[in-house]
Amino acid sequence: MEDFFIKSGDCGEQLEGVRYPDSVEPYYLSVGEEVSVFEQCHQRSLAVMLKGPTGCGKTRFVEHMAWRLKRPLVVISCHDDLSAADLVGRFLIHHNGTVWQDGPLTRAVRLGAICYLDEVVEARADAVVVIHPLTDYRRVLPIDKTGELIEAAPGFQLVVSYNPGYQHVSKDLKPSTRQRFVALDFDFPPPEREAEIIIHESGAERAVVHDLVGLAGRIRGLANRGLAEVPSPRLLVATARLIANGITPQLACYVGLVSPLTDDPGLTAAMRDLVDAIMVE
Amino acid sequence: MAEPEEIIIDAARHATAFISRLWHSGDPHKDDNPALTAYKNRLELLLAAVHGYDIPVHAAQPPASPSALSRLFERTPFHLMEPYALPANDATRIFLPMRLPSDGPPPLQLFRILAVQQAARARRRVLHTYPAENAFPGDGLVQDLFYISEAIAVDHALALELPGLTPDLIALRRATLPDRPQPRLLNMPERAIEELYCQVLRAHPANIPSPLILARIPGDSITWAIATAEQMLAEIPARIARKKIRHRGIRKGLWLGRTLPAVAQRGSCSIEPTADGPDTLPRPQRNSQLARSPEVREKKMDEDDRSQGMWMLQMDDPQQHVEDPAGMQRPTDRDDNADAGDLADSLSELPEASLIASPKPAQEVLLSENPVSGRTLLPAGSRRTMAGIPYPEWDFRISGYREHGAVVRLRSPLLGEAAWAESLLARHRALLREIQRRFEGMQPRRIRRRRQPDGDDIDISAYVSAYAEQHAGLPLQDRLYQTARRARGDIAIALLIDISASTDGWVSNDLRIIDVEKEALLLVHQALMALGDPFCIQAFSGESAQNVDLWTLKDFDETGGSLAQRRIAALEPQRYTRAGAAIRHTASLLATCAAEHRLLILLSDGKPNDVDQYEGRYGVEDMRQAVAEAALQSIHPFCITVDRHAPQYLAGIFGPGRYAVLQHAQLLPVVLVDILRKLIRA
Repeated sequence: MEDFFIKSGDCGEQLEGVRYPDSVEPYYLSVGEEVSVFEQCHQRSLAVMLKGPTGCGKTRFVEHMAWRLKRPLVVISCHDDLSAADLVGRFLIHHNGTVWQDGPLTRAVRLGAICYLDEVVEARADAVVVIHPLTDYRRVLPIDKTGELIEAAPGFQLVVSYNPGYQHVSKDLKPSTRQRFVALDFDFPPPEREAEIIIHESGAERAVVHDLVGLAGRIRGLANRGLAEVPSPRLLVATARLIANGITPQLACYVGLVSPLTDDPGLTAAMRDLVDAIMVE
Repeated sequence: MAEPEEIIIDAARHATAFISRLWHSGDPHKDDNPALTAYKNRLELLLAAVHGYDIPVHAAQPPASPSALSRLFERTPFHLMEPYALPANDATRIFLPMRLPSDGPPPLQLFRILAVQQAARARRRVLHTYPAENAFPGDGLVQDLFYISEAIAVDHALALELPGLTPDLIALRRATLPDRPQPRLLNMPERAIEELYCQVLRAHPANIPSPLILARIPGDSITWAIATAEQMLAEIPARIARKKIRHRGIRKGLWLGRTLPAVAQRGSCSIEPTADGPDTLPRPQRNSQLARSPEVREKKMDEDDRSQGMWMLQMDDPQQHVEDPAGMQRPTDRDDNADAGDLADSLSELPEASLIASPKPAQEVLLSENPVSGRTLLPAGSRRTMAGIPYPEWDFRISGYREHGAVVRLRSPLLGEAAWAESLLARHRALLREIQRRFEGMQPRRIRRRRQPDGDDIDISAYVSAYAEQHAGLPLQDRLYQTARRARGDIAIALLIDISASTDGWVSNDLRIIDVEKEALLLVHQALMALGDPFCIQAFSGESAQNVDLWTLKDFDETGGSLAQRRIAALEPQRYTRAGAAIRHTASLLATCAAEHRLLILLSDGKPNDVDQYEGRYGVEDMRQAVAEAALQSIHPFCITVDRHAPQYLAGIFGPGRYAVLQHAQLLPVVLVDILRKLIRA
C-alpha cells in the first residue's frame, strides 16, 4: 500500500479539508474484529457503514484506520441542508469568468482518500443518491455540471456512519442505499475496555475511572425510563479529564456527566443521588 | 321514617368518625416535612439505576390503632408497639413511611437511604428465598435475630458497593437509637436482643459487631439465629426460666423495618358469583379518602365452612357494621346510602381484611395511597350485549383476524359542571393565551418556494447560479422564479383518550392521572379551536370484547365549545383498556375526513388490558396491528403516555419516534400542546 501513500507534495498542494496521516497513531482500542474487517473491505474496495450510538468511537475508528492504511482522510459532517452540490462541487463566478470548484467528495475521489460521511441520514436525499455509483462495481462519480466522469483513484473508500437511535422518523436510509454497504455495529465497549480507554484518554487514576465506569453502567440502565441519551465513553472521558485536573469526582460527575444528559429535574436528581452513592472523594 | 335505633347508630357512627378525625389532626407526623410523594419518582429512578430493574416505591401503612379487645388480650406491651409506619419490603416492592420524623436527618437523606436499604433487602430476597414466617422455631426470637442478621449483611454490602451512602447509613442508625425502649421494661431475652440491636446501631456499617456474623446467604443467618437464641435462653437463670419468660417481640424501628410476605405467595381473591340479570343503570359512585388500607388477609383452608355453627344463627336482618376482618360482610350487603367517609374511617381501623371481588359496579370508591396488589379477575361476558359496531381483532397466535373480535358501543357522554372548565381556564389564563397565540400562528399560511419554473417573482439566488453556469458553457436553467404557496395542507386530528380505571392513580397529592388528562384535554380543545382545522375528541374504556365503550366528547363538525368542555368535565376512570377496537373505530372516522394529513393521537397511561386474554401479548399485538392499519389509511398515529415502562412495548406498537413518555404527568397539558404543534408543523 506504500505506493498509494499520498503526501501533500504528490498533488502539488495541500488540499483543503483533507487530513494526511501523521506519525502519531490515533488511539483506538479494538473490541472485536472491526479492524480486520475494515482492512479487508479496504482491500476489496467495499463501502463501509458504521452504526452505533453517539460518542462510542466511530469517528476515532475511521481516523485510526486511515492512519493504519496510510490513506488521506476527508471527513464530511452531514446536515439537513447538505445538497449534492455541497458534496460534488459547483461553479464559482470569478472576475474573468467562472471556475469549477471541487466539493470534498470529488476531492476524495480524485485523491484516492477515505471519505467519511458522518451522520449520513441527516443529508438531503439528492446528496445521498450522488454516492450510489461510487459504492458499486462502477466506482465512478459523474459530475453533470462539467460532464466529467471521474473514476475513483485506487485507495478511495467510502465510509458512512449513523446513529440508529435518534434520527428523525422521516429520515432513514433507503434500502437501495443501505444495501451498498458492509455494516459494522458499534456499541459501548465492555467495562474493562472502557476503563482502559478512559485512563488512556484522560490520565485519571484507575480507581476513580473504575467507579466512573460503574456509575455510567448504572445510568445506562435508565435508558428505558425516560433518559433519551445515555452517557457515552466520550462523556466519560471528558468527566475523567475534569477529575484528573483536580475537580472533585462528585462535582465533575454533576457537570460533566449528569447535567449534559438531561434537563428533567427528576432524572437529574436521581442521577445525582447515584453519583453521591458511588463516587467518594 | 328512620327507626330510633338507626338514628342512634347513625349518630354514633358520625361521632366516632369526627373524634377519629380530630385525633388524626393532632398527629405529630403531619407537619411541614416533605412527604414521600415529593421524592417517589426520584427514588424509583435511583433504585432502577442501582439494581437494573424496577422496584416500585409505595407508602407504608401506619399501624392499625389497637382495638379494645386487642388491648385486653394481646400480649404486646405498649413499649414494644410501633407508633409510626415502618419501612418494609415484600421482595418486589418497597414501602416507605409517608412522612418521616422531623427531628432526625434531613428527609431526603433518610428517604434515600431507607429506599436503597429496603430495595437491597428485597433484592436479596429475590436472589435467595427466605423461609416462610411459620417456619421459624420458637416464639419469634429466632425470627427477630434472623432479620437483624440479614439487615446487617445488607448494610455491609451497601457500605462496600455504594460507599457514598455510608454516612447516611450511620445517620439512620443513630436516628433510630433514641426511640429504643428502656431496658428496665424488658424481660431477659428481650433485653439481650435489644442490647444486640443497640450494639448494631452504634457500630459502623462496614463492621460486624460480635457476636453477629457476616451472613453470605440467609442460611447462614438462620444457623446463627438458632444458635444465638438457644444461647440467650440458656443464659436465663433457672429460677426465672421456670416462670416461662416469653419473648414478646422487639420494637423494629426505622432501621430494621418490616419484612412482609412475598407477593408471589399470596393467593387470588375470592370472586363473588352473581346472577346474570338485566343491566342496571350505573349509580353515581361515592368517593372518599382512605387514611390507611388494611393489609390483605390470606384465606385459611377451613374458614369457608359451609355448615353454620351455633353462633352463626341470625334471627334478624344483619346489622350494619364494618369491623369484619373475616370478610363475612360483603361490600354488596352494605347500606346503599352509607356515607363513604364513614366507611373509609372504619375500614382504615382494621389491621387486615380479605379481598372479595364482585362483578357489580362499585358503589363506593375508597381512595388509598397504594393500589391493592394483584388484579381482580372478573368473569367475562357477564354484561348484557347491546347493538354496537363490530371490529375484527388481531390474534397473533393464529396470525389472522378474529371476525367480530370486539364490539364498540357508542355511549352518550355525561355532562359535567361548566364551572370546572371555567375555573380551570381562569387558572391557566396566561398559558392558554400563549397556546392560542401559537396555534393561531400555525393556521394555514403562505410560504415562499424557490427555484420554481414559474412564479410571481424572480429568484435572485437561482438566477446568479444559472448565470455562472451559463458562462461556463452549460445550458441556461429554467427554474428561476419563486412563488408563494400554502405552508401546509389541511389536517384532521382525532384525540383518543384512555379513561380506564388505572387513570385513577395519583400523580401528586391532589391530582389523579384522569384529572391531568382532563386538564390537558381542555387546553388542547382550546388550542385546536384556535387552529381552525377539524378535530374530534373521543374517550374509551370498557370491559370484555363485547363492550368497548366510546364517548364522543367533540365531533368533527361540532363548532361550539361549551358542550365539549362539560363532557370533558364529566370524565371519570372506568374499567379497562381495549385499545385496538377504539383505535380502529377512531381511524375509520378519521379516514372519512377530506384532509391532506390525518393525525390520531392516543393519550394513555399504560399497556392495553382487559378482563380476558387481552392483557399481555395479545393486547399489545392487536394494538400494534390496529396502529399499522391506521398507518395504511394514511393516518399518522402518535401516542403520549405517562407509563415509564412504555418504551419497552410502545416502540414495537407505534414505531420509534412515534410516541412520547412523560416523566411527570403534571406536565401533560403543556407537553401535549407542544407535541401537537410539532406534529402539525411536520
